[in-house]
Order: sequence, then structure tokens, then C-alpha cells
Amino acid sequence: MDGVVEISVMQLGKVYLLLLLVLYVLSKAKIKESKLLFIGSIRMTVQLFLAGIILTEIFKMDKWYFTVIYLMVMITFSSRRIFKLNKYLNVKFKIYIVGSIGLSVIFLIIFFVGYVLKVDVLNPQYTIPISGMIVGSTMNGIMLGLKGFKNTLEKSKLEIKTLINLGVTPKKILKPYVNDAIEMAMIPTLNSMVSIGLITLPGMMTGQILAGTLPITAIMYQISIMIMLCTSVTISIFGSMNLGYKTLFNEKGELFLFDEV
Amino acid sequence: MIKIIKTKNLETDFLKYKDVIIDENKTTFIVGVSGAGKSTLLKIFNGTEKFKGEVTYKETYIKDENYIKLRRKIMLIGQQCFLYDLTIIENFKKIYELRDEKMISEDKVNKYLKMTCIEGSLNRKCQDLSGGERQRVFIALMLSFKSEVLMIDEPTSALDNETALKVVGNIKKNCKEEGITLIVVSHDEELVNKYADEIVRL
Repeated sequence: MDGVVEISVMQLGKVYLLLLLVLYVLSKAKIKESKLLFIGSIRMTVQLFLAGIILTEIFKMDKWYFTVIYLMVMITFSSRRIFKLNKYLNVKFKIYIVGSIGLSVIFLIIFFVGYVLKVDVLNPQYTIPISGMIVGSTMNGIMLGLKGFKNTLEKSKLEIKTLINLGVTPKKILKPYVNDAIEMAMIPTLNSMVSIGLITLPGMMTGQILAGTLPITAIMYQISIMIMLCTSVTISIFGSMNLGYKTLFNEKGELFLFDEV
Repeated sequence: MIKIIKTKNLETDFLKYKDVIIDENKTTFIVGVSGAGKSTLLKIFNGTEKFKGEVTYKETYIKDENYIKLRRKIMLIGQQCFLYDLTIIENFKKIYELRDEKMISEDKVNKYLKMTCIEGSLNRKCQDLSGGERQRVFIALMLSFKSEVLMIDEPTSALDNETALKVVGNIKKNCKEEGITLIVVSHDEELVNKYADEIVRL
């Protein structure tokens, strides 16, 4: 198999031309998201280049603490994004979310990199890209779960009020919504396992194959990644929701849902 | 006469209340113009609305009570009722289960449904009932818990006049027999004149 064809800046420039097509459709369909497209394209470019530069340096220096710092930065940024889209969360709930993501990522890295691959868990070449994928998917799952949690609570105001008046404990009132949120968070990951390989070829595998890895090796990595993503989303959302919902009421039985509920 | 609920200098963010006293085992109607805070007062009594001032239930400040226990002692039937999309009997079972209580016999369920003028099969789906019927099934369910105080916010909003009089009459009779203090918020003059032992004007 040949090595990958290096893409020059000029060639990359040509790829950007595709965005004009997207812009055209946006304006034709009167979708006012051209600003988002613009910001998104610029941020994607800057962020990825920065990541590339930083990763090159980290790989070159090969120091364990850079891996740790990179991991912490990733978890911080993904948490911030979750909080930005779910403004109703209280401080304790937020701490549980960060903790759940952090612990599940650390557990999976130790399990896969350390135990399965038998590589040093702080080796940046393995730990950074793998944890990057895990954190990204976990973030998406948790965002979906939390958003769904709030939406269903809002739709069920009358039920909740009625159960409160009936003297049902907040724990019993909220538990079904917690379980629904966990399900909502997990569904996309589970669905992607169904369609993968057939309808979609995942980015990581494509990248590896382009870079000259044997497809079968790429596939085995991909399977491991998919299972890890699924596990990570599951553990994180389970931890976040089951610890977090308990911050929405107190011993006395007062419920502190969000202002609108 | 035992004063079961007492308020002193009660106020919310929007309203100031005069001091209110509710007598035990009596039927008290709360009347007043719209916006006088009738529904809010009921919510304060069962600990679902924030307030400043003092409210005591049997000489204990309700702020010191465990709200779950309080809401089981002072039950509130709000203006809108909620039932699951299940049959009548399944709704009873579900709510009893949620309250961690042993389900009552079908005979007893029928007894309470009869009080609220619901006849027919217990296996009818609640989503097929009319608004008035749903409300009455819900009132029957609440009655079955035999709370110490039962508060009903506009019990007749979805009922015709005749049924309303009959249902409230039956509720009052049941509460007298079981020693339940009944508090009703209503606009209906006829209802007030016929059934009120005490009237609180806000």
C-alpha cells in the first residue's frame, strides 16, 4: 500500500471552495446560519491547526505530563460546551458531570491503552487521539441526554405537580425522567454501531487506511473505539444523571427544578 | 374547636394575606375575586409555594415539617388534574405504588368513585373519559388516601351544576365521617351557600 498523498495548503484551499456550495444552499433556503457556518469554518481551521501544532510538539517532547494536561484541557472544553447548552444545571450537577466524564475516560484509557494494547498509558501517540474521540462522543451523548431531560420535564409539568401534591418522593418522581435521559444519550451511539461499515466509514479508520495502515488493523482499532465510545457514553451519562438529579431536591422534599418547571 | 391551620403576617412576592384560621373537621370555603390569592394560599398550605410569615399546622410551623409527610397530611387537588393513559384501576394501582402504599380493594375503589358519581367499569381507559369524568376519578383517588386535610381548588370547574352539587355534597359527607378537614376554593355561590361551615374571604 502506498503512503498517504500529502495535502498542500493550495490543495486544502480547493476543498474550502465546497463551503461556497453550502453557503449557496443556506441563502437559497433562507436559513440564517451563514454566520454559524463562517464561525464554524474558521474555528475548525484554527482549532485543528493548533491541535496539529501542539500534538507535533507533544509527540516530539514525549513528556507524560503533556498528555495529562491535554486530557484535562479536552475535558474542560467539552464540559464548558455542555454547560453552555444546558444553562439550568446547578454547580453540584456540573461537578458530577465533569467527574463522570473524567473518570470514564481515565478508566477506558487505562483499560485499552494500558491493559489491552500494553502500551504506557501516558504515551501521547495513543492516549491523546483515543481519548479525544471518547471525550467528543461522550460530550455529544451527555448534551443530548441533558437536553432531553429538561424537555421531558417541561412537557410533564402537570404530572410532576400532581405527583408532588400526592406526596410522592422527588426521587420517585424524577427517576423515570433520569432513565429516559440515559436512553436518549445512548441511542445515537448504539445506532451508529448498527450502520457503521455499511453506510458510514468512520473518520479514524479512513484516516488510518489513507495513512497506509492495513484495513484489517484499522478495523480492529475502529471496533475497539466504537465499543469504548459506547461504554464511555453509558458510564458518563449514567453517573452524571444518577448523581446529578439528586441535586434537584433536598431531604425535606423540596424540588428545585428549573425556573420554567 | 381546634384551629388546625393558622397563618400570621403571611405574604408572597405579590400578595399580602390577612390572617387566616381553618377549623378542624369543618368545611371551609375560600372565596374572593380573581387574583386574590386563593389557589396560592392552598399551595402555601401544602408547602409547594414560597412564602414569608408564619403558617402552622397543628401548632407546628409548616416550614419545619418534612414536605413529603406534610403533603400526605394536607392533600391538594389542583385545578388541573393528571391521570396516566391507563385504565381507572391501573391509575389507582400506579399512584398507590408511587406512594409506596398497599393498594386498596376494588370495592373501596368503587365506593370512592361512587361518591364522585363515576359509574361503570374500572377498566375504562382514562384517556377516553371526558374532562369532568377525569376530574372526578382524580378526586376519588385523592379521597381514598384519607388525608387529614383535603383541599380542592375549584372542584366544579369541569362539571355541570347538578353533578357539582352532588359531588361536593358527597365529598363533604365523606370528610365529616372520616374526620377530614375540607377546604374548598370556589366561585360558585350556590355551592358556598349550601355547603360552607366557615367562609374565608380574601
